[in-house]
Amino acid sequence: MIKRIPLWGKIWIFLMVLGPGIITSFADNDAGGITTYSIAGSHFGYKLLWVLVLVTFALAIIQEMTARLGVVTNKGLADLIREEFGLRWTLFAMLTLLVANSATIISNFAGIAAGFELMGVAKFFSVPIMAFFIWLFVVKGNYRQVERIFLLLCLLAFSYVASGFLARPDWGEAVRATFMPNISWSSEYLLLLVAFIGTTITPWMQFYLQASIVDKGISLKRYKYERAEVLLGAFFTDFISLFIIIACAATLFRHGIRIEAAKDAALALRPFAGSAAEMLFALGLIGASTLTSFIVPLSTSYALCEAFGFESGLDRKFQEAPIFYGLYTVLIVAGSALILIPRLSLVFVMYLAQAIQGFLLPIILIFMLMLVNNRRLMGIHVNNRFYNLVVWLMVLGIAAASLALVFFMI
Amino acid sequence: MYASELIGDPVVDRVQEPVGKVKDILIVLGEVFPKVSGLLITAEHDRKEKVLLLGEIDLIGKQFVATKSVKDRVPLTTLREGDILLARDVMDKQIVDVEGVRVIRVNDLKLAKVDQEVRLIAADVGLSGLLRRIGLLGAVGWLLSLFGRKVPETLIGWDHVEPLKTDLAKGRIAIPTKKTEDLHPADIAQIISQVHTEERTAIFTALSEKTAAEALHELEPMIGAMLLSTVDTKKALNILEKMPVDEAADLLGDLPPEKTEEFLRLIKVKKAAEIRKLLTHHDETAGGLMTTEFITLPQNLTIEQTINRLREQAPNAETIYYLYVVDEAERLMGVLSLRNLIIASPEKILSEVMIKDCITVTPEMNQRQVAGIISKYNLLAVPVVDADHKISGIITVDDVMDFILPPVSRQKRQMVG
Repeated sequence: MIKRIPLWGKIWIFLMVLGPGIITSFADNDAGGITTYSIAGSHFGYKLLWVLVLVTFALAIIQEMTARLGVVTNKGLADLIREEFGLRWTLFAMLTLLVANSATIISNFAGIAAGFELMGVAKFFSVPIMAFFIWLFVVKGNYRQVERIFLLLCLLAFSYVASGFLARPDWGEAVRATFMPNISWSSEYLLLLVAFIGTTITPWMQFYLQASIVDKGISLKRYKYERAEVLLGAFFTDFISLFIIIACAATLFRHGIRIEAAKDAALALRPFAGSAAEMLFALGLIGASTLTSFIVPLSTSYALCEAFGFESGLDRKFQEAPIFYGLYTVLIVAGSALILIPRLSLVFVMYLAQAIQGFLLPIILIFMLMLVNNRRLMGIHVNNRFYNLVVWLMVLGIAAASLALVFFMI
Repeated sequence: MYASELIGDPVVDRVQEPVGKVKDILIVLGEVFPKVSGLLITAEHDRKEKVLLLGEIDLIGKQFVATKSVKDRVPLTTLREGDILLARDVMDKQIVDVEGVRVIRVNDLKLAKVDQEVRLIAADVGLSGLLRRIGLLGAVGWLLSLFGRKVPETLIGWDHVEPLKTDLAKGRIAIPTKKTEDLHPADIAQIISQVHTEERTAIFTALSEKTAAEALHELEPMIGAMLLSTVDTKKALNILEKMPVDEAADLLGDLPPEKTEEFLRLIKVKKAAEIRKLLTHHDETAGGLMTTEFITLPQNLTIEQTINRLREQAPNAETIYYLYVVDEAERLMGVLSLRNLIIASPEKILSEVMIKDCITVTPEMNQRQVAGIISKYNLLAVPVVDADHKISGIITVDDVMDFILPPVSRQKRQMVG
């Protein structure tokens, strides 16, 4: 007699076997991501859709590069940087990563705070409790299962797809904006551009994805499956991003509403969820923020310990790996404590964090480019010219936008 | 000295003219503690990378490297395929700490002068290595010293290091593992004396009892005593049994009294009694220096009988070059060298061939005076006699040699800082 697996069982199994590519892409649409895309849609309508197309393309290429680097060398990104560039450059790269990741951590605690505030829970309760909860599950080593629950909450992001259709957007305008680049030379637009790129392609993702791939021990033979998963993940992420922008453009932008707080952003879900929009938005935000809060502090500690040769790993005791656990704890405590500052604009924090990541991304990308083009490391698997061209254009593009932004701000 | 301190050092010739700058360090594999075979330098005149072999180097220090010959005469060679360079191939890479079974990154490498060679002896995997590399060790060390703390130093002896398997697969570095045992005990002692406390213990515990006993002799008794108290009692006892009594006594003299007493109870009764006797003497006197393992013979023995007896007794004695002739009350009557014994005709008795008025010292005599006497009369050993002219021990030339010229491990390091 064949035992039938109930539906929830099947979902559970599917979630348990999800690969690094998919998890990374889920975590990519974190608090900062949702906020940035919402701002893009509600402040500029469809105007940034062309950027999304290019960024998706770059994301796919960069993620593929990261995966290839992991599969061929069997080493984490931090490992490779240390071994190929020496200590001083490693210090520089790790400082960059630490700043970018701290920004991400803070932004996700802001996401947790904003989500709970929509549900009527003050941040002074929600943030310390969630921070402790995240810390505890990771240190006790059974966070993997808990992580899946939040992954499930991330699926709520699909409600943007429904909302996007139901809001009756101007499809003609959307398609036109997708293929017709337009840049407005204002500091507001440029900041959004940098944040937009920074939230889609983040420094931490490259470290996390490569580490997960090395962890899984994916062989070169099986690489084509991994590549498929990574590419799928990239397109999936931006499919959601696309609908966040469309839903916001069709609702908030049409009515001239600017996002000042999380409850404004929740309005974009009205066409689909009606009065439950705020609740839906809150749950999705909490899910995405918590998932990322599990991943980023841990991935940061791993990367730093890896680079400087400190003992790391959740299978070690606190006494055996004091720096690893210490750093992890400090990141969570400091990140969550900052959010408790009274009258802090959570939306602004989330948004600014993405811009910081955008500014710092080129540094990490240059390290990666040099590694992936190193024939001694990669053999025949070095980048082809097209890849190099795309990534270099990306680096120059962000650098140019950042410089222009600085110029406009002064 | 650390690799990071050497790299970047100026290379000068014997008249202080600049030759180049140290870029990397070459090692040869094949031994547990690999030898440094030369330095890769950036030449001063053409900015090219050249190899300066160790044989051409007069002095290696933290501040500079000096060559033996003058600038234009310094022979430089080129790097060959397969040469192993410390900074390029070992530093910043991951290694497996065999003892702790963990993978760790090399932050710095510790070099030490062992005899005429410079060897790679340990990997620095801790914070101190990181700080030294970025030039902040001094500053951070000073800051911490304000709080009465030190920068923690984590060294792993090269004998416990294996390159990471993934690197091996790519054929980058392959350092064959070999046992420390293959080194001379004196060299082992020198390495032990230069590494961190924890690492000392690790190297020491891995040694066989025989090698450990020999290595202990070359070490400062303080360090030796510390090491002895880290191994388990059974092993410590076996090591003590394999050591000459005088050295065992030196070592026990540096242990806490209750620990010494514990060992003495467990050691074979006869040996323990001799050690006890030696322990009563002050360290710096003849009594503290002497050993009680020597050969005494009655006066009426024939030469032939004596040789036969030597065959039975000799394995235990520290020296057989001098044979001491005593009467019934153990009073020293004369001395006979091995040479006297062999050239004499077999039927003669000892009292006829021995030298009657021999040089002796008293147990209270200062070790400096003893050394003076041995040196003055060119002796291999001198007997220690008490007021009744009873022989209580002998002092061999290598005991005073250690005093005149301390073992290498106790010397101030000259070439390598």
